[in-house]
Amino acid sequence: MDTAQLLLEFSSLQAIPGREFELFQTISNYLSPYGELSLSPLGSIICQFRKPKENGVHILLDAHLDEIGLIVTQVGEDGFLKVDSCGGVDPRLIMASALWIHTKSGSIPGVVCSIPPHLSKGERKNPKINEIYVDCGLTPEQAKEQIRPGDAITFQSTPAHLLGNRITGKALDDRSGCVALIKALEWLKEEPLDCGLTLVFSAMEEVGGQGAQTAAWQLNPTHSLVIDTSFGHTPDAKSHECGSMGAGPMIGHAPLLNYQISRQLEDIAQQENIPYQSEVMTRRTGTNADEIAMSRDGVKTALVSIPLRYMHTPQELVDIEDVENTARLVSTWVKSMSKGGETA
Amino acid sequence: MNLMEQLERLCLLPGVSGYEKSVRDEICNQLDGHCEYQIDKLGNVLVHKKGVQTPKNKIYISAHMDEVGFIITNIEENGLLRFQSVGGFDPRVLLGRLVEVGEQQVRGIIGAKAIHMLSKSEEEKPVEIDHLMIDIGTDSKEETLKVVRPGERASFVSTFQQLGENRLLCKAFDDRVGCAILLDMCLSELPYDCIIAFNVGEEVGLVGGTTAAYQAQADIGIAVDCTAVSDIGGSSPEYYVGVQGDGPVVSFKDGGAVYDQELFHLALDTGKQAGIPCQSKRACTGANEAKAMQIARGGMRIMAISIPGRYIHSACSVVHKEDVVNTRLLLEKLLPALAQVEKYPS
Repeated sequence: MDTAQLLLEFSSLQAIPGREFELFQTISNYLSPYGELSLSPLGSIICQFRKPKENGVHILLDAHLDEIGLIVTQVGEDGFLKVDSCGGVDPRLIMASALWIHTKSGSIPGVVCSIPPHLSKGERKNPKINEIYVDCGLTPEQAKEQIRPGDAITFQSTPAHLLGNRITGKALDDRSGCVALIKALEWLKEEPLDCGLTLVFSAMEEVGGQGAQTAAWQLNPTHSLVIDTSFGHTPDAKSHECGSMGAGPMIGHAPLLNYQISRQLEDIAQQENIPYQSEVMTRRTGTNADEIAMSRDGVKTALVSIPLRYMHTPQELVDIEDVENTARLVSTWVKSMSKGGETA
Repeated sequence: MNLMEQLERLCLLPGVSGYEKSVRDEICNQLDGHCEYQIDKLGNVLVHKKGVQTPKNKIYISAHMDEVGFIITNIEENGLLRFQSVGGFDPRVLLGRLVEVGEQQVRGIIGAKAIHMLSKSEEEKPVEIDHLMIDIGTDSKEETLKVVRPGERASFVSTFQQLGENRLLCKAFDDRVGCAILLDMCLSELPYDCIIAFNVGEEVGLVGGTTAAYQAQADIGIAVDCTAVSDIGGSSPEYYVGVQGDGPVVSFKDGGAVYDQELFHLALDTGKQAGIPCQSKRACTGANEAKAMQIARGGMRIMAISIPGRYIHSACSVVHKEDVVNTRLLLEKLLPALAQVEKYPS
């Protein structure tokens, strides 16, 4: 399937942390050609691509399915909603944002209340997420009838193909990672592999990585490769803290990542002429790699990130070639692991 | 096309102050074959609408075609666009929005570095426009210049949605709602002659409103705009300014003018007699084209009849459908009432 099309479709899926299970049927449509699917108790979607052999190499490929959003905390007496964040919502843009409130009888639009410049006074500060109100245009009775505390809220967004190779939309963190893994499986489909390979579209990464943590325990892999997104450089950011858009997957280095696999990925990229960048972290990676690496008695874990601009906004940005090159890197690495390329 | 269809069509068009072309073309297309109109030197559309009768004094009614938006100031070497606002914006409603830029309507993201890279104190501060950029997906100035040039405008990408049973959510209700209402009046039979204007550049200093009022040579002027109300969560009644669903908002004073007292009461009385809900504005905030009408030539007696709008000057403004309909009804009922009014207050 066309990568750009996949990115646009995956950006349109709606799942805040804890609601990923609602996507099981939709995701099955994409993944069922590759293996048997199951749902974990926390809602991670698991696809067994190649069954692991006893005492053999078993690779867990992970990308997270959840997106940042909001959750209804109160339905007010005035019909307006109080909410809080589910994941790291950006308070700099929340005012007058258009939302989808996912109620038991369907999704309805809402707007985050804001006072216009004509009426506002005093110093402007970004609101705290738990202090904002949401306007659904409902009377108090209608709001109480249709909406419940705990209902999920996602951001309205316009998935679009910008100029060049760029795709914008919400949730490309980490749906672009999910897309990269689907492409990798596409390329591995006919490969005879000597290792086990399980794909996890994990739940709850944005609120602590609980989906990946428990899936890793359940699957008990020997190795893991996590695909997430990292910062694509814009002029207002420090170059050394970012990767460049279009310059390829960012191969992670960090104390809890497996050093040999990090280098192995770089070697493969060079051999295969896949453009790549490095991302060096000093402590935690801030991704599911942190939870997976420390599962049970430890998992040899690597992290590859897709450069992404405007992270945690409703219009994130990725480069299609970076997604495809990430997929190439993943599939080539898996093949090399299967051939006993493990030096770690 | 009914009033709501007009509204949807007009709101979704790009028309930032100084480049109202799409809106003007749409309005003129619809006026063709129905009304005599002229387009003046600044781009205002002036309609000399014939009614069933001629009033004692000349009545002039206007709405503005322009919306607040952005203007591209510079293209950076890395292909990103620098921009400034056209009209007033709270910077907190800009980040992360998709916009359409220039004649080619190229899509771009208003962006800044991700929140993860900010210190705690930086997180609290709004990103000012100077630090925002528009990203259209290019990597070089050369690539960008093929499709966008400095001086072009950018406006929000928006959809037109129903919000709850009675409200609508879209960009630019300020003041496409006024334009939709006045366009509907142009295409209908009216009881009295009037001059109806669709003006440019209101948001940048009543530019079109000033010159149109001069050309109208009228005695009575009515501005039909979208007024900011905050009858919303987190606010309290003393700050509402107006309430959605309570009908058109009639002003006695605002940041631009002191309105004609007799005409202020006439509007409210006319509404009451006709059974049309209307409300007086509860604060002296905002300004509109009536300010320019008041001081045109020897002066006009002015009114402001406004549609209450929530979250205006953002990509997500909200109006109440009944307020739109009731404003249209009130304006029609006002024509016979105004037809009897003198050139001076009594």
